[in-house]
Amino acid sequence: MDICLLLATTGPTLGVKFLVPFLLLTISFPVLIAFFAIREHGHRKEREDELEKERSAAKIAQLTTALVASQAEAERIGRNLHDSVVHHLSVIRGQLALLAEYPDAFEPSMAKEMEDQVRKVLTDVRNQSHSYTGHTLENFGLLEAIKKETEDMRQSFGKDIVLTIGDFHDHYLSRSQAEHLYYMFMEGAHNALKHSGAAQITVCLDTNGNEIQLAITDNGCGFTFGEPSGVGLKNILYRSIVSEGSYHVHTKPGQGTILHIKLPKYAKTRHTGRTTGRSGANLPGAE
Amino acid sequence: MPSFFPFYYLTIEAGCLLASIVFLRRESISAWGLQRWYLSLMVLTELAGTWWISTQGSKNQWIYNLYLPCIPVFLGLLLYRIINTLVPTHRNWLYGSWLCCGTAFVVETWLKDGIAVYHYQTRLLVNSLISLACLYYFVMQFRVPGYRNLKRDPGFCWVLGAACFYFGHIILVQASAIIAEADETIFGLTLHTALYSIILTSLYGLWTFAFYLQRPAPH
Repeated sequence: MDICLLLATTGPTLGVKFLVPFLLLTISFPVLIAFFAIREHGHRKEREDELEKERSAAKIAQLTTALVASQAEAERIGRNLHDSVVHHLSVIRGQLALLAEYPDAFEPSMAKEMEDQVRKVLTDVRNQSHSYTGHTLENFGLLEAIKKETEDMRQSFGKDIVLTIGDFHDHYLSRSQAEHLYYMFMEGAHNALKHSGAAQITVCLDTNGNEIQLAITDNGCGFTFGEPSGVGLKNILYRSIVSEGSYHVHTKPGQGTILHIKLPKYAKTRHTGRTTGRSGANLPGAE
Repeated sequence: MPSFFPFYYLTIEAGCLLASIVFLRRESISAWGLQRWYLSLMVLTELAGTWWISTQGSKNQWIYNLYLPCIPVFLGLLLYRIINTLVPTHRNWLYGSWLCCGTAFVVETWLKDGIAVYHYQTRLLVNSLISLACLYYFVMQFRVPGYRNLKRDPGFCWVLGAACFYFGHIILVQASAIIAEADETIFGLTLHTALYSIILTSLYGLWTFAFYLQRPAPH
């Protein structure tokens, strides 16, 4: 219906009632668009705030994990130093005390024995320093580091440690994953050597599809496994979380222990079926 | 009452000019800084138009015709800059709109034998181009990702003011015949005057707020 005809038939009062609101509504069209734009951006802010909260929570969790792992590492260092270095130094101190009291009792063989003790202390401290600072890992790669550590443990503890390497190359893991796996291996192997009383320990490193698997098996006394309460197992737990892997402990009292650690293969090497031809001397770039 | 309104228009325009001088004093020759020159020109035009009609008694439309080309130049520059900060825009769009407005102005001057009669078609083209650019800006606010605090964004407030006025002005001009037919008053004002006052107040109110938001941050 023609608006002018409507106004003519309905009178001026009705024309104002329809016309003014219609014109105001039409004129306020930009205001309506602006209102919806402001509302849309308000929703975006809420979403961004939520994402930021999630990122912060994840960051805090990661920092907490790293802190706990560091504390566990420090405790292990202290324990190992106490077990090895302090023992040898105590023997040397005893011998020197004896010499101080009975200087006539000195024999060349005693000097040789003390020199051997000092050499052992130096070797222990140097080896532990290299392992704690990741010196071997940094310079020779994960595979060589594990081989060297295994040999050192054989000599230090005098136990039969069998190392089996399957399909594994250093570039299968990123630098940080390799570091975590190295320290988890150290923790698991030291636990087996010190607490299991096992005569033989087997370490197996292999690849299964897109997973790297490390298994440490001993035929020792076993234990009742619950929530990880020991420092070593907590360290393994947190490192496995940080490196997006997992670990399992299969054990029963009197039936030995299997520590099974799995890590995802480094993304760039998945499904390629190819190696990059790198030597074990250099680890792949950091993730 | 009718004589009040030129005074009202001049007052709010002068208020907006004062706000631009105070808040944009450090903008120098940027697109924002040029707003001070544009508003000065507009106030001068209003003063000249009012003076001419009251002293000479003849039509003053030629004064507004002379001022008409300034609208797409100054407003187009700032609109382009605001849109460009949101989404990269080629300068050819700005130059093209200037070319269109300039051509329309020349053609209408030629068709109407000079500038004595107000160039309504050119004005309609200018209003339409500005309204379309404002609409494009609003659409991009939905499409470009990321959060922006639009309530405190000087560009958004400036574009909203321009959109309210220029879009509203198109509606008022196109509906002027219907409004005249209605011959109604609101609070003693003619319908056209009342609605024009609303869109003019929203324009200068939002522009003043935009200049306030654009002011230099205190050190």
